[in-house]
Amino acid sequence: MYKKILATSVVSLGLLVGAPLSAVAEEMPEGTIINAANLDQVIDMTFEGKRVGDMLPGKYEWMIRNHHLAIPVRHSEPIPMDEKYMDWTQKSKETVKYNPADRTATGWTAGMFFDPQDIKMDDPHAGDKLIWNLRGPTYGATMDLRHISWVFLDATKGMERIQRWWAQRYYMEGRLDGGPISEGDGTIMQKTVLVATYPQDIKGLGIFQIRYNDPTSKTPDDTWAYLKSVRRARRLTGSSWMDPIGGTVQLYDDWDIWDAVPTKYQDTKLIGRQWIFAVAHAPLMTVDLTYKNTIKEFPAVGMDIPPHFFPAPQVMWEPREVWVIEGTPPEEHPYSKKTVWMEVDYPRPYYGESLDQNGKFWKSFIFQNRRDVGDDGYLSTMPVVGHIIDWKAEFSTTWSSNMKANPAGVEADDVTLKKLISIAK
Amino acid sequence: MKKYNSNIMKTAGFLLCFGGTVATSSVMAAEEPSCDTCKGGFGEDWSFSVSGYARTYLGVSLEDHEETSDNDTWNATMARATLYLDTDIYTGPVSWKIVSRFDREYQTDYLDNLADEMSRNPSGNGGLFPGVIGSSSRGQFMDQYNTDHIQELFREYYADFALFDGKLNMRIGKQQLVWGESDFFQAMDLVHGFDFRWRLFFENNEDWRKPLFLVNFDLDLADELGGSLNFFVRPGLDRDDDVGSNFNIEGGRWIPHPYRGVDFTAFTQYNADHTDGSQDDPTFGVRWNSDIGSIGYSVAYLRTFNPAPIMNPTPNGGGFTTAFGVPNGNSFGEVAQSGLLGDWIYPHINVFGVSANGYAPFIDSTLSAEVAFIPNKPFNYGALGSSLPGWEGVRTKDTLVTMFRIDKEFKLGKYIGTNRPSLSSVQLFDTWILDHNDSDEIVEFASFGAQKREHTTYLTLFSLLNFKRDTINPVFVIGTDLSNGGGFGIAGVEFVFGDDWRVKIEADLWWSDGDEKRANGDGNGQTDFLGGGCNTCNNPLGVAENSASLFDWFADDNQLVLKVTRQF
Repeated sequence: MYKKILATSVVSLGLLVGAPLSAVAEEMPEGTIINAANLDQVIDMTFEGKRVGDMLPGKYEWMIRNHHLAIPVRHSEPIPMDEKYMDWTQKSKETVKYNPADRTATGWTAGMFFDPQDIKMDDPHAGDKLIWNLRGPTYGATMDLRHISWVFLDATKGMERIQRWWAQRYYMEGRLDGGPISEGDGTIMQKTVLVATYPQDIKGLGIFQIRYNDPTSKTPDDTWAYLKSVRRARRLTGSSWMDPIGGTVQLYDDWDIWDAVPTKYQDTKLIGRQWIFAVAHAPLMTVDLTYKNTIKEFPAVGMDIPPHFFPAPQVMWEPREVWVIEGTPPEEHPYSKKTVWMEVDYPRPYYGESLDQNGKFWKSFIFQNRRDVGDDGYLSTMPVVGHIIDWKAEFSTTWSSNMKANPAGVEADDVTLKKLISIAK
Repeated sequence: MKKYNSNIMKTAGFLLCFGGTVATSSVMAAEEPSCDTCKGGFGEDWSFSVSGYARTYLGVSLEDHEETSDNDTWNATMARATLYLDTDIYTGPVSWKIVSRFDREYQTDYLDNLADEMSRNPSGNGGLFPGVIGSSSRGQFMDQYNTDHIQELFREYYADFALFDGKLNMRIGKQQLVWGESDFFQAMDLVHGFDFRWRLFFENNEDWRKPLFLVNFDLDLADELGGSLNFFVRPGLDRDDDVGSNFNIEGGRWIPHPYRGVDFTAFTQYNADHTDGSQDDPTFGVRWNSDIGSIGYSVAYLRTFNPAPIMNPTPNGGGFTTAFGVPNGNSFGEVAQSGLLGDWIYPHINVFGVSANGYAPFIDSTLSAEVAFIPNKPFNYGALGSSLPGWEGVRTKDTLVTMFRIDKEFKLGKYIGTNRPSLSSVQLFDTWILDHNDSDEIVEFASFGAQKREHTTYLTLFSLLNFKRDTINPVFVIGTDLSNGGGFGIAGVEFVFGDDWRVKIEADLWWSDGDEKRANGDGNGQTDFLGGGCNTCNNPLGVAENSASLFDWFADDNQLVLKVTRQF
C-alpha cells in the first residue's frame, strides 16, 4: 500500500512538474523560417502544440545547421482524399488479405489495400501493409507528369543542366476515374512511359515499363528503352527498376520516394509514427515555362540560394503526422536501407533517406506535394517537386512538374511502347 | 535547280564553317504556353519546336595509307561541319517532322592527295578513259561529302496522323523505318541503305541511314489479336542515289583499302534502273509485332534492295574486264549499260524474318535473336585471283542470317565509380549460304578475292560506361570475324558540358590477318595504266590476291576522331 501511494505521488509530482513546463513552452509564430541562425531558439518551442525539434526527422537538423536548409512554417490543414478512394478502402477490409508467408496482399480492387486507421505499431507486418497502400494508384488512375524537368544542381556551382521529359503512368488496376476499375486481363498493375525531349543529345531517349500485377514480384518488370539514335527499342533487364533515371541521382525506385512493392524488398518495417514538418501545400505553379531555361522556370526550388537544391523560400512547410517505414532492398540494389516518412491517413510520402551499401547516409528525398483536382473531379494530393540529393557528391537532381491527375482523354493505349516510339520521333 | 541548290549550300557552308558552331543561339525552341492547364505538355495541339546542333568533326589518320605518296600518319582525313535542325510541328490531328542536315567538308591535304591520285590513275583523266562514263566524282571530289542536293538537305519530312479512332497510325513522307534487332550488322534492318562514305564507327546509325519516301501504316490490333501490324510501301519516288548502300566506290577516304584515290565511277556506274533492281519499282514490307507472355517477337516479310552494291559486269570482256584478268563477264539479267567494266546494281531481294527478345531472370540478362531468310540473295563470283575478283557475274544463293545477343548490365560503381549499371552486350552474327559450294567462288564484295565461306560469323562486344552523372561516358567495342580473321576495336569517350556542349574523342582501330590486298607502288608511279606510252606504270587495282576479306578492307585505317557539338 505504501509503495502504491509512493508511486502515485511520484507520478503526480511528475505531472505537476511536467505540465507547467509544457504550458510555458512558447508557441512559434506561423511564418517563422527555421534556419541555422534561429534553430537553437526555436527548437524547444512548440508549433501547433508539438515541440519543433521533434518535428525535424532524420537529417533535417543536420541540413539546417550545416547546409542552409530553411523551413518557412505555416499551419497545417486537413487534406481529405477523394470519397471514392476512401469508400473503396473500407470495402477492401472485407476482401484484402495479407499473407505473412509470402508478404503478399490479395483480394484488392481499389482504394487503399489496408485502412491505415487499423494499423498498429506492434503489427509486425505494418511496414508491408503501408507500402502496399503506397503502390496502388494513390493520386489518380492516370498520372500526367506534365512539363517534368530534372535540373542538375551542384551544391557549389548551382544549375548545371536541364533535362526535359514527357511522362505518364497508367494504372490498369484500382482505377477510380469513372471508367472500369480494372482494365485488360488483370495481369498488369501499371504502365509507365518516360521520354526525354531536351536537350538534343537525349531527345528521343525513353523507356516504357510494365509492372505486372503479381504480388509476389516473381514476374519481373518488362522494360524497353527506345534509342532514337538507332531508332530501335531495346529490351532492358528486369532489374532496371533499381537503376538511375538517365544520368540523374534518382533511381526509378525513388519515383514517389518508394516505387517498389514490398515483395521486391527483403524486408519492410514500421519504425515510428510522428509529426514532421513537410510540404503538403506546394505552390500551384511549379514549372513556369514563361521563363524557360532560367532558374525562374522552377519557382518552387531555391536555385539561386546555396546549396541551390532546397525548396524555395515561398514553399511553406506544415506539421504532418506520418508513419516512418524502413525498408531493406535486395542485395544488388544500390541502397542498403531506405526510410520513408509518409502521411498517416493516406499513402503520401513527404521525406525519405537512403543508406549506401556500407550503411553510410547517402541521399535524402524531399518531396513537395499539393492538392490536385483531376479533369474528372478526382481529389488527390500528389508530388509536384522532388528534391533528390546525393550528399556524397553534394549534388541534386531535382525534378519539377505541373503534375496532373486523371488527364482527360488518356487511355490505356496511350501509354504503350508504340506511344513511346511515336513521341520519341 | 542544281545551281540554285549549290548557292544555298555554299552560303550555308560558309556560315557554318566560320563559326556557326559557336554562334548558334542557345534557345531556338518556340515558347510553350506557360500554363498549368494546357493539354499534354508535349506536342500541344498547335505548336512547333526547333532543336538541333552544330557540329564539327576532325578525323586524323593514325597510319600511313600506302596508296598515297605522303606519310599520312597524323594527317587530317576529315574536317567536317554539320548543321542539324529537328523541327516538330503540331497542327491538331496531324503532326509534322522536318529533319534537315547541312554538311560541308574542308578538303584536307589528305583528300587533296586522293584527288591527285585520281588524276594520275586511269580513273582520272588519262589513258583510255578520258571522262568516259559515270565520273560522278571527277572534278567534284567533295560532292560525296557535301550536301549538294535539296533532298540531302531535307533528310526527313513526314506527316503523322491516325485514322479510325487511333486504330490506324500513318506516317507518310521521307523517313527512316528500322526493323530488326542486330547491332553493327544488318539482318532485318534492310528497308534502307547506308551511306558509308563519310561515316565514323559506332556512331548513331540514324546519321548515315538513307531515308526514303514511304507510306507507312501501323494497324493496332492489340484488342483483337494482341499485337500490331506494320506495313509500308515505298512507291518509288526516291532519287536513284537514295537506294542501296554507298561503299564509297568514288575513291574517297572510306573506299576499302587499297583503292583510295581510285574512282570506280569512272569506269563503272550505279544503275538504279536495272530491271531486277529499279528504284522506280515499289518495294514494301509487312511485320507483325506481338508477344507471348513477356517474350516479344516479330514476324516480317520485306521486299527491298540488296543492301550492298552488286557488280553486273560488262559481258564477255566486251569492255575491259579481260585486261584485268577476268575471262568472262556474265550479265545478271539486263546487260550493263556501262561499256567498260560494268554497272553497280541493287537487285531486289525478298527477306523473311523473325525476331524475339526477352528477359532471362536466371542470368539477369536480356536475350535477343533474329533470323532472316533471303532466298536467292545475289553475290558476285569468280576470277578470284584477278585484278577484279568477283567480276565474272552474279550467283544467287539462299542465305540465312542469324543473330543472337546477350545484354547485361554490370554494376561496376563500387569498383570503378560508374554512376549507373553499364550496359554490355555480346552478339554473334552469322551469314550462312545454305547451298554453298567452293566451286561457286562467291566473294563478299566484288574487287576482293577472299572466297566467301559457308558461314561468315562476327562476334562483337561492347560496353558503355557512365561516370559523374553521365557527364563522362566511355565506350569500348571490339569485334572479330571468326571465319576469316581480323577485327576492330573502338575506344571512345564523350564529355558532357552543361546543356549545350558535347565533346567526343574516339579511336577506331583495325586489325587484319595479314592477307589484305596490297596497292601497287607507293602512289608515285600510277600513271596512265593501259594508256599507252607507259611501260612501268602500276595497276591501280592493286596486287592480285585471293584472300582479302572484310577486315582486310580496312587495313591501315586506324584513326582518331574528335567531335565537338553545340546543341540548341
